[in-house]
Amino acid sequence: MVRKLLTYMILYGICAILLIPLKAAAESDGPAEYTVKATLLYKLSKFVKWPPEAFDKPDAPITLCIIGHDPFEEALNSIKGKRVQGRPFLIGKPSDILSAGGCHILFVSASEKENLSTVLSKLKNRFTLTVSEIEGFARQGGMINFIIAEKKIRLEVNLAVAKRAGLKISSRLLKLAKIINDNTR
Amino acid sequence: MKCDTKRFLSVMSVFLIMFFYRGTAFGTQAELPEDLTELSIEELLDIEVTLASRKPQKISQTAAAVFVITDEDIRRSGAANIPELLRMVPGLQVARITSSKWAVTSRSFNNIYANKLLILIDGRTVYSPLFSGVFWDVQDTFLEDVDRIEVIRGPGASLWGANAVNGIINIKTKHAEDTEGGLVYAGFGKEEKKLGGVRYGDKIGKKSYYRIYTKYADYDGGADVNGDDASDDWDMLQAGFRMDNEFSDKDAVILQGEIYRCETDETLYFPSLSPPYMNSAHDNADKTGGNIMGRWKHSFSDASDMSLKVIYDRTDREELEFSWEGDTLDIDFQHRFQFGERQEVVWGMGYRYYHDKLRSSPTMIFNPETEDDHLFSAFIQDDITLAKNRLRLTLGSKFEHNDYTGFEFQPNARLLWTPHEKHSVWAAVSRALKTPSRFETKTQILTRVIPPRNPGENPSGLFFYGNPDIESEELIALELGYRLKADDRLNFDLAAFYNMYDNEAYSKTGTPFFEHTSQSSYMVIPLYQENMVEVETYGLEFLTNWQPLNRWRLQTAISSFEMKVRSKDDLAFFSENESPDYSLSVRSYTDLPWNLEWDLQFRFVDSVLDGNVQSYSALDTRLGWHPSDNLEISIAGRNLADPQHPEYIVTMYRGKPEEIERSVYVKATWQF
Repeated sequence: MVRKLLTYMILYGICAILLIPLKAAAESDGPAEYTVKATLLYKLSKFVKWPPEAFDKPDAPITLCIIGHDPFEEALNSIKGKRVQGRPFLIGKPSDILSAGGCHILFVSASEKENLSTVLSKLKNRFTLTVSEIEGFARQGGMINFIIAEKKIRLEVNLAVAKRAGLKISSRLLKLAKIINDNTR
Repeated sequence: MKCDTKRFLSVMSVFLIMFFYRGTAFGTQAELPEDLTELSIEELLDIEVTLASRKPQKISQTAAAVFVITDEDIRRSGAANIPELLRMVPGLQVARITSSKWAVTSRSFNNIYANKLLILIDGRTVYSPLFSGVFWDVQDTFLEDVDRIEVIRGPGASLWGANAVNGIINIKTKHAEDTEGGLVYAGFGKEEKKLGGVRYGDKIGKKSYYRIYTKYADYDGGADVNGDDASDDWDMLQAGFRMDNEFSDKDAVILQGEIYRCETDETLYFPSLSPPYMNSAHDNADKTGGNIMGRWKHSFSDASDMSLKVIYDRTDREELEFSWEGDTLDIDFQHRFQFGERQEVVWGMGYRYYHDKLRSSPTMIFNPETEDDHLFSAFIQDDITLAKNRLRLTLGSKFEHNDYTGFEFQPNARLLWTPHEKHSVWAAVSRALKTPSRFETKTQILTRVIPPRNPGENPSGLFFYGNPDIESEELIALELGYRLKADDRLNFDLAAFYNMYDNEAYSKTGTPFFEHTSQSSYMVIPLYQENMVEVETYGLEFLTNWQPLNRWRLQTAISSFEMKVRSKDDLAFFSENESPDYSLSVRSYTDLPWNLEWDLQFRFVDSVLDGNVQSYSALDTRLGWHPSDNLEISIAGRNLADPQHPEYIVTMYRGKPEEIERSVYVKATWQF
């Protein structure tokens, strides 16, 4: 049994090695989904105007927070240390939703799908721009949702919720997005 | 049990074809800067990205051998029913016996009567209390509405209870909110003769959604050894609904139900103690049933919730040899809460009431013909974080009281160690039980008749006698696993197990005796069911997921398995080789230009039943075309590698052995 198994493993290993050059060739394909999504999170901050009470100082940072399981991992490195609207751009990972109240952008991970309503209700009418990739996020009271269509990232925006939170989203961004009707009232 | 070199070469050739197949020829993108932040938002939204795997994080952090079949896997597999879908899972053994009968198991003891695997559809157990196995011919759901199928190999008894000995298959359908709109499909082909289904879903009220569906499938019979068509057609008509309501932020109620009608044709041969000692009969069996289920989930906070589930299930099987009317009522309660900083506790209680009415026949006698069973159960599981994101210990046990063996407990301990975010190692020790079923305890079956060789002699009948004093079969399982996520495109999953089964029930030949009735005199060779077998099994399951190109995904599953009998008793009919020593599955998904998809699945299954069923290779393929967003046209070829092959032979089955034929079918799906 062990010998047969070894034979299988070795043959399998050979096949895997044969396929490596193909893998190297594959690297030139599209960038990983989460590299693009991380970049988008940073870019979004340029198209959103927060109310004055969102910052306690003129040079106070804009904070991006990720709640739940972090799908980005190293992808966040490319947007670390950037500046937006003359403010430093910081990234935080609060352990629970109560400590996420000070975040300017909150990315709600797919791992929070089950308690989405709780997460959103805690942030109701705060200045936090909520972003996610959970299906139906914008419909359920989130502000911006990343969806995938034909391998490209599309935006869904729930404008009414953002307005209620005192956020202004630029028309350039809105032109690129699908506007979702508010379902939460 | 020799490993066929020729067949192995065919495995290699598939790899080689894949190696030479270059998908890069189409769809290249413009050069992108290293730092994507240099791009404008318009440009960013125009990039074709490499999609990350959609598997929920919780699965990869489970200290168990878990495999998930996603909705995309279901669509692209070309499989028309649930057992065919399960063929892709490492460590699972699926063998089709006739068009409507399957032997499905996890890790060992594969048989049409396989009784150590628990199947759940949206949390409803579908095994039959009659023999603790699954009547696969009546297990179906609207496959387009399945969200995912989670398969756990190994014991899951601490949460799920008895009969989750070797594995659990949990089929989860989508939330009704995700199936708004209509879907119609129709298909026809050689073995999958007619397929059709309609689903419609909509929103009612503020936070309530529903969907209803109906589906029909008509399958052609297999072939006999000479290649002639067998008469075992199978057709199934089913309808169902699901309603999801959110009454408040904290309360969700799900109501769902199904009804079905299944008809199977079979030519069966029944032994008889008077000449001609064997009677053939055509069995046009009628199987109907339905179930209704209500679930209420209430969340107290982020970390605490409870759920209550009530299920009623009715099954009615009208076969020549027996009939079965069974009613099951299931009530389950579960509560999850955070205990201190580091512990998450889940506990629950359940009650099951089962009532049946059986009809006996000359070859199968039930005593008594009507029965009521009560099953009480409780479980507790504690997830302890020993080191944040690094080390987690799970301790749990199920306790139950059943009418056959009284009080039973089934504990387990699992440890998950994540030394690095790319590597995780897990280990588990569990005890699981298979409690006795009605068949094993309260039946008498005439399995075979040996006709007299000379005039004046008496025939002999082999009678199987159920044993009301039989005890539970016990498993102690040791498991070890390792997962490596090399990058977004490549990951490995290795699981090893060593299982020790004790008290396995098996038929022991007793002292023959004479029986005289008014019609005939015959010799009885009794077979008594006894807890007598002690076996150990061990094996390895190896899974690779690899995405060499954006448009190309590959999955390879290799399983190896060995069984050793440790009992001293004579086990004349016991086979150590019910499950194949080796099996291999390679799946490839390719997205071609012009909205085409091309999918391939190659399978190699080693010989079983000590060479009585030879090893075989099978090739399934599917070509799908999406002329528009809401239309899909596909053609699927199944078992293309040979005209026909057998996958399993059941000695106790009354029909003749059958083989599985090559098949092609076309299907169109329209969404509106």
